[in-house]
Amino acid sequence: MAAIKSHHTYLSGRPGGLRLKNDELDVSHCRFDYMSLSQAVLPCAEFSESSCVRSDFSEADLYGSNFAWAKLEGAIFTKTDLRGANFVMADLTGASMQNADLRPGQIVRWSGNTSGGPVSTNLDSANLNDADLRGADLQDANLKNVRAIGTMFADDDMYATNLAGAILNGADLSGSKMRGAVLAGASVKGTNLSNCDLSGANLRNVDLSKATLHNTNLDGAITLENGADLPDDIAEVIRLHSQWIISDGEVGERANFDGMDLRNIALTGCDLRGALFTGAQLEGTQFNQCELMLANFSGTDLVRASFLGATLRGTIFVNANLVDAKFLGARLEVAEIFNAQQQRTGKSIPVMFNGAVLQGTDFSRATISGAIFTDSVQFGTIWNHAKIENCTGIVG
Amino acid sequence: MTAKTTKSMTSLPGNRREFSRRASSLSALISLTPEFSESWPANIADISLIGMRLTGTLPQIDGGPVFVRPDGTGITIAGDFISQGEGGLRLKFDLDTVQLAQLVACSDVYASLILETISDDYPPR
Repeated sequence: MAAIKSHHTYLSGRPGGLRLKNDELDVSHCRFDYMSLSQAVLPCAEFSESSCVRSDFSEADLYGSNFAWAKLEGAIFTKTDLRGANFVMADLTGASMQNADLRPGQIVRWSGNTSGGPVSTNLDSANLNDADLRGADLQDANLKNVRAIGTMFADDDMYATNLAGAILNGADLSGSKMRGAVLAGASVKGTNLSNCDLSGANLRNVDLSKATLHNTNLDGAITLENGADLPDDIAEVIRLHSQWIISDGEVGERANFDGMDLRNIALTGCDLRGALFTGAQLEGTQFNQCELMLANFSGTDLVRASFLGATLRGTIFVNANLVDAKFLGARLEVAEIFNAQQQRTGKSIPVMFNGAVLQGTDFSRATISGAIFTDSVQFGTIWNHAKIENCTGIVG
Repeated sequence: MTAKTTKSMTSLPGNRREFSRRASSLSALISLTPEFSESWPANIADISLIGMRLTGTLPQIDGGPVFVRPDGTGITIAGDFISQGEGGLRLKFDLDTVQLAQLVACSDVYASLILETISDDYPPR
């Protein structure tokens, strides 16, 4: 406390004060409500599960600090160096982070990162409702599953920022630079995306129909084509599936289209990883640009279905009828399984066409690696310019 | 078959979620022989990439292989005995490709477990 008193003296400009400097300060579980730590130099500080309601950290150096589960309602981080900081599950309701630096950090202890590579600032599942992040630099930051209702992100640098599953209802992202950002499954009701650069962004399963899109750049972005036109029951299944994927099975529900009529429907750009299609009617269904890793189409009738540019890792087509289906430019690859430490387990699931009917099926320009075609009917199957490696069961 | 995880997404104040072992409500039959000449119903209390914990009224098992048929999957998993106690029967296993694919198809818990292990990144394309 003496150090903090001395810091307050320093801030007031009175003699005898000393700026607070401490590497690896550990104040986890402590209370700092309404306290000013403005301009403090506290790199890699440990604030996890602390309470810092309305505390002032403006212009402080909190590089690589850990605020996991901290209570930070109304806290001030204006112009604060927060590169590589951890705010997982933190409550930042009404906080001010204007012009804060939230880019990745190189030396970050909380992450356990030993690779020496940069570590993204982590706001996974944090509460940012009504927070003000105008002018903040959020490049590569992880904002997966954040609640950011009414939050101000205007003019932020959000290149490649991960906002998958984020609730951005009523948020203002106008003018933000979001090239390559990931908003898959995000909720954008009433979100202001005017003048945003969303080129190349991942907008799978995002219904943009209720967002403001004036002068928004969506060049090369993957979007849910005609998303608002999907039948309500299908749209609801996809919405719940998005939640299921992004929450790693915690909430939402895995899509199971058994018994549903999806004939000639365009599901273009959807994220349907792990979805179950067995028992669904799928003649002429468009899965173009879809992410279909580990989806199961066993025994389905996919006559004239199209998978143009789709990603199909470990997808199962056992005994499916794929007459005249099109896989032009699709990627059909092995899904390799890693353990919790992200190390290879040696386990994998290939794309399986065992027993499928591939009459007139068009794989032109597809990349097909490790797929199994054993016992499939290959009559008039088109392989023009397909890149095929390590597959089994291809005839001729 | 449906099974819901009871894993807490927010149980750790770290940057990672714990996904090496996940609670499930899967049920199964177990046997000490591959023919299932004698079998017992069991609950798969939790499951990971390489093992599972089974609970229920199970016989005392001293070792050796234990065969598990998760309901609705049509597959039989040959597990190796690790331990048995109040917490249940712990087995480890080595699934082949078909078993993996079948378990992914039939178990929501296993599917989310596998999806999570493949990549936490979400590339634009």
